[in-house]
Amino acid sequence: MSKILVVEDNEMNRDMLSRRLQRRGYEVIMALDGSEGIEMATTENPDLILMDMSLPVIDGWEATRRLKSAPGTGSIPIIALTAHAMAGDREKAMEAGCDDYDSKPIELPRLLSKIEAILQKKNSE
Amino acid sequence: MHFFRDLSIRRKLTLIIMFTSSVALLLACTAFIVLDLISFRQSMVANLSSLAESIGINSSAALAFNVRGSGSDILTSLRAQPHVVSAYIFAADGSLFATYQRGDQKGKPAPPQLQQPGHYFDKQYLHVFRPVNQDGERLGTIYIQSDLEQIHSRLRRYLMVLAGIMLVSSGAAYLLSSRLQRVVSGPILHLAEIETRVHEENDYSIRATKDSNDELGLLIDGFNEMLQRIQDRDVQLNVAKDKAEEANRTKSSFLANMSHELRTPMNAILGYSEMLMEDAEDTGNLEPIPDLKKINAAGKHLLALINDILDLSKIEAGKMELFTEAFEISEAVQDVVTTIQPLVAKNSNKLVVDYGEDLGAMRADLTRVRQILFNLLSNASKFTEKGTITLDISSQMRTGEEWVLFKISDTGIGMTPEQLGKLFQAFSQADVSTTRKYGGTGLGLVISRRFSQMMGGDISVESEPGKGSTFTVQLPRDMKEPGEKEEAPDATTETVEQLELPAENTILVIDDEESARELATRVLTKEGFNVKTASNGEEGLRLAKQLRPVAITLDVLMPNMDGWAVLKALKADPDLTGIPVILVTIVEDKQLGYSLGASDYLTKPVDRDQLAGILDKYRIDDKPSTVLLIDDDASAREMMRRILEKEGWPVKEAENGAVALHRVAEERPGLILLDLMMPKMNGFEFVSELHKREEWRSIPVVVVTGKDVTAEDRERLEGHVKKILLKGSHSNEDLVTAVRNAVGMGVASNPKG
Repeated sequence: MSKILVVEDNEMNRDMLSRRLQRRGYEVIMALDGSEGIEMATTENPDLILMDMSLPVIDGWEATRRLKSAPGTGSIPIIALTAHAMAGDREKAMEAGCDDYDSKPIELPRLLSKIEAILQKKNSE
Repeated sequence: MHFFRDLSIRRKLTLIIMFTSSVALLLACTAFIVLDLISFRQSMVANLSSLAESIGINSSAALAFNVRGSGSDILTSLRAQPHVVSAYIFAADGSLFATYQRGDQKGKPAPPQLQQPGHYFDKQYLHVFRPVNQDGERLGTIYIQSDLEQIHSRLRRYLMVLAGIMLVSSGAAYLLSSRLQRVVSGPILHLAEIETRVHEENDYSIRATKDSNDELGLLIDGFNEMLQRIQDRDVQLNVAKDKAEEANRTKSSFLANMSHELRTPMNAILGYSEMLMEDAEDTGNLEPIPDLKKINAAGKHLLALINDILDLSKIEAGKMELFTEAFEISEAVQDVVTTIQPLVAKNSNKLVVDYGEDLGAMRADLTRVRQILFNLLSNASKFTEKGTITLDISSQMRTGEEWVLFKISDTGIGMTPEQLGKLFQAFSQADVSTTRKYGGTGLGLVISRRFSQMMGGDISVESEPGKGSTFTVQLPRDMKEPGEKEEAPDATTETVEQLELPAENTILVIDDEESARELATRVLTKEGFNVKTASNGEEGLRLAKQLRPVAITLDVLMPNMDGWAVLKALKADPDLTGIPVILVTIVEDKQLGYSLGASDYLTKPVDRDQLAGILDKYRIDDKPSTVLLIDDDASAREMMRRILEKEGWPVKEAENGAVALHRVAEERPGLILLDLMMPKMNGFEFVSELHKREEWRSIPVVVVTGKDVTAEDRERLEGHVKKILLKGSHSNEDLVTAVRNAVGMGVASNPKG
């Protein structure tokens, strides 16, 4: 069972995303801000991180950069989630080191296919 | 008059004053001289008359007694009068009684016709006739002829004096006028100077100083007032500009926030309604599902509206950025058709798609093209019931450009001319009641049209009420990047001419002498060089730019542009400065040649072996240099490796900037192909690291990226990279061309030997 870390400050989104992922058989752990996200990623060693980009304490861009540059967490794939509709967000996320990107509102089938693809790639390596 | 018009105001005034005063003086002097000469003539006549009178009195006795000798004696006394040329005494019967002639008179001129008493002037003489009377009886007539030497000498004297006076007074007038004109010209020149300063320094706080209260003073006051107003307005404009910029920033951040704030709750609405539906399906309680579907559909609709409004706001704020890429038109159309199918079916419509086999690819923003087509097709479906919607795609050559036309026609309700007029205005559907009946914001068309325009095209429409509407989207097949036209050519945008491949080992021979060109061609072709020739300097420079030869041989003595000038121009061009130049000439000035940057110097007549030997130094090494591929995507590396190896280049790979730096240290590559977005060390960081090492700076770098390269990015890369290629939008050929070009240049500037 793959373990997914959801880093999201909005309670509803967190609740929704975690329940829907659990329903599909993933183990979900949650963090409320960037700093907590880094901590949980380090201690829990999830298979994948879903990272909201606008987070309190440490934002998603910075958290991603820190995770990707740390030896223990650098290999954990990260999917960036942003509600920003501005152009360049995708590029910004990729530049920060994210492995993929999805925009809110979340379309679950689309997000699931991205999660599957990344986990599959990770497992095959 | 042209000459006068272009003089400075100072000179004009001086000249006007001098001219006026001279004319006045001349007129005054002329009047004086004329008057004086008239009175002098009168006194001459009076003198001569009284002389005749006295001769008459003296000769009356002789006339009365007809003593001729005595008459002649009396006339002889005229010798005392030097101006008298001749004199005659006529008897009463008109016969000549006595004559006198001045000593210098030769021969005996005929005596004048006897005339009535009086005088007259002719050209040279004054003639006076005077009667001799005694006791009222006429005894005879005296005639005296005088020359006009007195008048002439007087006139000469006057003219000399006049010339003197004119000279002195002109001098005085010049001195005075050049001082006095300043009263008028000073303020004008000051004004002109202030105007120039304001103009050049762009400083509207400068003021002209006024020192008189006349019209010039008023002019200066007016000028200052005008400057004041401009200054005030500038201040106001700056304030307004700052405010507007601030407002724009606020608007932009508001937009960004809004998009976030609006989407977050929408996320919850859509998500929870979907979850409830899933729950209902899982538990078998199907009753709430239709209602949940309505909530979900309404949420999606609301989200679409929000997206429309945000899109439009972004377009209006100039924040909308397009991402151009090449795509197959038929694939994009199929995508849209699949998505629109449920909407078409909803009103029992039929969709007919019509295009030829070979639509080919186009370059535009794929997402926006899809959005436009979707929008127009969904409109057509909305306003048509049990009808046919046709999507017809064709291409057309117009104004030297190829256009792709998407024609969407329906058999729906159509529009009146008034409705058509309001069609592309924001927030105005054809009719208010339309909104109620058909829904929508009425923004779709506005947005679609704006997108078309941003991509260089437009949307046009034809419609008839009750018959249906036809919307035509026309887009250029190859969309110009925004700002592409205005952008000055820089290091990253190479011109087509520069991209022309340098044929291997080309030597350019620049010589005006045909025999010299022929000789060089023969010798060098035999040595295996590809030889191109130019018969003059200008042509030589053009060919050098175009061919990028490995070396140039250059004659010095040429008409128009000589070899020194060509050499200077070659060395001044950053693209050409690396090409070695061999001077071939009869002029012995090696020093100048080397100081101007020549690599070698040959004296004519040229020794064949020597020429071939020298040029052999510049032959490009046949073994191509290594290409270093830096990309985190292994499949992209694999693809490029295959393309490059097929062209014969050895390839090394690195998955990020940090690894790449090690590779460069191991073996200096001839060229680097660089991706921008990579983990650990990205392309930007890599380029700046590379440039920290002096010896690596000359390695040409070509950026190959999927990133949307912004103006800011270009600036960061400016001068550090040879070319930027966008992934997906460049063909394999582009890549090979760029590599070959960059490698060619790298080697040309780094000859062996």
